[in-house]
Amino acid sequence: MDSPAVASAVLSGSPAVPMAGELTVAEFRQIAANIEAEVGKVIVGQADVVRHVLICLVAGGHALLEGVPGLGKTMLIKTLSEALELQFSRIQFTPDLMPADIVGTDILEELPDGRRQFRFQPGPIFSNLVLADEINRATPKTQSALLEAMQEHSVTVAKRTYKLEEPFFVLATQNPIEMEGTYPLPEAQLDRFLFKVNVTFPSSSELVEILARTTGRLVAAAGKAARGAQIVEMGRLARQIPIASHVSDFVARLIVASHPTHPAAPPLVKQYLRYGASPRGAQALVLGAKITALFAGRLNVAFADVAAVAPAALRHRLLLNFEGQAEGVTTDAVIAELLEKVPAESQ
Amino acid sequence: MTDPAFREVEQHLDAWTLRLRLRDAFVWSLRGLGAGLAAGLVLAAIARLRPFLTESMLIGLAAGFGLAGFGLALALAYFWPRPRLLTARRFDRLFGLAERTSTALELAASPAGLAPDWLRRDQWADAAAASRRADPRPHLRFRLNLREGLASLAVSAALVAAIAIPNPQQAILAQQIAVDQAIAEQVEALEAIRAEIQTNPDLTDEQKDTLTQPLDDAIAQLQDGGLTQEQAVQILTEAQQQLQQQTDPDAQAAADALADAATALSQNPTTQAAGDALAAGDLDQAAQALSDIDLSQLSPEELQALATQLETAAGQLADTNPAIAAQLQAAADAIQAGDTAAAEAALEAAAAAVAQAGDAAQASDAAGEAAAQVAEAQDAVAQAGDGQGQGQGQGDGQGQGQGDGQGQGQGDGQGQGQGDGNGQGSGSGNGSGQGDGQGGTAGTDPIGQGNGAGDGGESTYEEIYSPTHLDGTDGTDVTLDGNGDPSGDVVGEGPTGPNDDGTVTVPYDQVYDGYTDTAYEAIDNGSYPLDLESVIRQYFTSLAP
Repeated sequence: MDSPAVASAVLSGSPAVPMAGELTVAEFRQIAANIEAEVGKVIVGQADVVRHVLICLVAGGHALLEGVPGLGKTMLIKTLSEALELQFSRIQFTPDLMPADIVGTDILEELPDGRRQFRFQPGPIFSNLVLADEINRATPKTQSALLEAMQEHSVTVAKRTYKLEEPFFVLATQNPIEMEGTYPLPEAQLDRFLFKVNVTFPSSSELVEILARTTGRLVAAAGKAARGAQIVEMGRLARQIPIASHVSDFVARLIVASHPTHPAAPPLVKQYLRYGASPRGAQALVLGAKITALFAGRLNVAFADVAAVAPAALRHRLLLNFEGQAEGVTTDAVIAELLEKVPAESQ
Repeated sequence: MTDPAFREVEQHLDAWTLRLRLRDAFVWSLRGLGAGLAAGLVLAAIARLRPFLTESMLIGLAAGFGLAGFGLALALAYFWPRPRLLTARRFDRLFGLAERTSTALELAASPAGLAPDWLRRDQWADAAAASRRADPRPHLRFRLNLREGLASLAVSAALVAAIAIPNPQQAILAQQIAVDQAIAEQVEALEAIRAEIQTNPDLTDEQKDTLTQPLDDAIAQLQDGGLTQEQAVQILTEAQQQLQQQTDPDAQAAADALADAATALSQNPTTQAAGDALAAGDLDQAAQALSDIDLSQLSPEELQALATQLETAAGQLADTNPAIAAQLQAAADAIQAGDTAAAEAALEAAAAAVAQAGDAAQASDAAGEAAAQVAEAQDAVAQAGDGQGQGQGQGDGQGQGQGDGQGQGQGDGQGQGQGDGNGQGSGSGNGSGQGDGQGGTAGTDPIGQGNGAGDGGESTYEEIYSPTHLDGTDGTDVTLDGNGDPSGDVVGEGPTGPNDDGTVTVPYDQVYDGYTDTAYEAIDNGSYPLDLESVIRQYFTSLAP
């Protein structure tokens, strides 16, 4: 993630010269609305999940969706890929999945003249939108194969590095139950996800609508709503949105207060957290807040924007200690405490 | 910055800031008023615990605190520095502007190339539109918090009650103020007495120094401040006693007795001038006239007649002025012996003795006059604050007169007075009685000495206290039994002639301590009403030997 430091400047933005083909705020909102509308044709409810995933796409980040089986996580990502004119690939993570199965490998092929040579066979990672389904079922070795791709947008095979085509998004899913035989993602890899989005069970009315759409004669399908270049352009626009210094300061204090050893940490943090959020968390907060402001048609970041994305941006970056895990404390509760106890303006 | 949208944002911010200043001035001025009144209430509470402030001062201070708190809080709230960016942040929160105006200000202050121009313009336009929609009235109301209003009302009511409900400390404080004022006035009176002594041409410098020393000491002590009424009275009593000690009744009597010789001397032309001067009480003139007699100009018959007159005068002065009588007799003898030089020397000596008697009499007179004035000052201080309430005084006086064939007299007096205010006071006084049993008029002077000199005849007594009614008119003088009535009871007899000591059964200084200790012990035990304690202490202080 290459966003500017959070508290260092009033603005994060590009030079003043308008860029050719630069999106306006209205166009941004229109594209976003189109994407959500197309996704909404297939996915019932889950508006927040769709919105957060979309924020990740615009921000150029990766999203981790967590929810029990059957809530439509995979369906959501497939639908999103349908709505975007992007190359999509799906990787079903299993314990026997090997890194080469993801990034690709050199294969020996025989040329017409009879000679043999190695040729790189790209893996499914070479797509714009990669669905890493049930990512926690693969071994850590295989999971780590995603690290370079997620962070550097490139893969290295046999001492040769291959650049991934932009935009590149990894949307991963994992199941919080049935943990036997799974490999929880290490903190380093979790931190590379911009957001961790919890997919919740639909309401009864949403469930009725799901039944109507999936058990009838007609099968809903999403149309194309945006191109990859537009997604990149949306992200460029979002980075120009100004953020006032006291809002940046609030983000910084929020991150600092998430560390249990810091004097400003609220009691819940001190009692139940082992580690707090990293600077990547602050970057995720600001970037997510900027995109949220744009979704609202606003050209500045508000405290409310920060608060809106704080759970998704921080919940996978806060590490509970043993006491917190034993007492069933959730990181969402800690984040709520942080938002409540950290004052909007420094004293 | 010339962008119209940004100017509009600034105008909105200015208008909101003005409303914020006015609202804060309104709210905080009332809080300041409440705080000032609370401070006044604290003062009122203290004033109920100790004599601290008079009612008028308390009202003034409470009102002053209230107004000061009101004005100070109003001014501070209105003029308190409010940086525009901080104010914009506040308005963003208050009006739900989602940090639009504060971001607009920061955008305006940021370097030109940091944000695209279109973004600046659009952001300012968005901020201006949001500002236009904002209504500050629901968020910046000119309304006092109900709890604060009730608290201010409670403080005000408590303050009014604290002032309106009678405060016993006020009477004590009024008395203290009256005493302090009386002390200040009497210091001025003492300085006037001192100046009068200093300008008296009949006194020598030594006599002036002697007479002014007690006054200087008393003035210095009184000016030290922090004195109780008893202490002030004690100081004045000591000064009065010291001055009284400088009086010489014998000197005055001797000077008065010289008038007896005036008739004899006036019958001779040679000594007529001296006789007339003696008759007029001008002893210096008489001395000069005696000194100026030139025997050499007299015929033998005139000398003989002069000798006879001098001898007669000597006889008349033998008892009262033996020294002058001896010189006059010596002059007569020398004339008869024909020794005019010795006669003139004797006359010179007689003149010197007359002059000396005159000086002594003048010094004694000045001391007595000063003592009397100090006694008046002492009375004034002692009575300071007594008029705060309705008073009823009763005094017993005992006097001792001097005179031929006179005895001791005792008089009882009773007086009633009515003063301003409430309460009941008491006083004791003295009357002076003559040896023939004349009673004295009632008085309320608590510290009178009761010693008077008489020439053996009836005399009227000086009224030293005249109680007044509330309206300032004189009270009723109560005449004691036996006043002016020769048939009054005679309670004592004794040798009361000139230079005779009175008869004392038990020395005064031996009984004083016992009575004083008993009285103070009773005060400590709470046997006396609180408002009488000072009077009792004052009484015994004044009686200190």
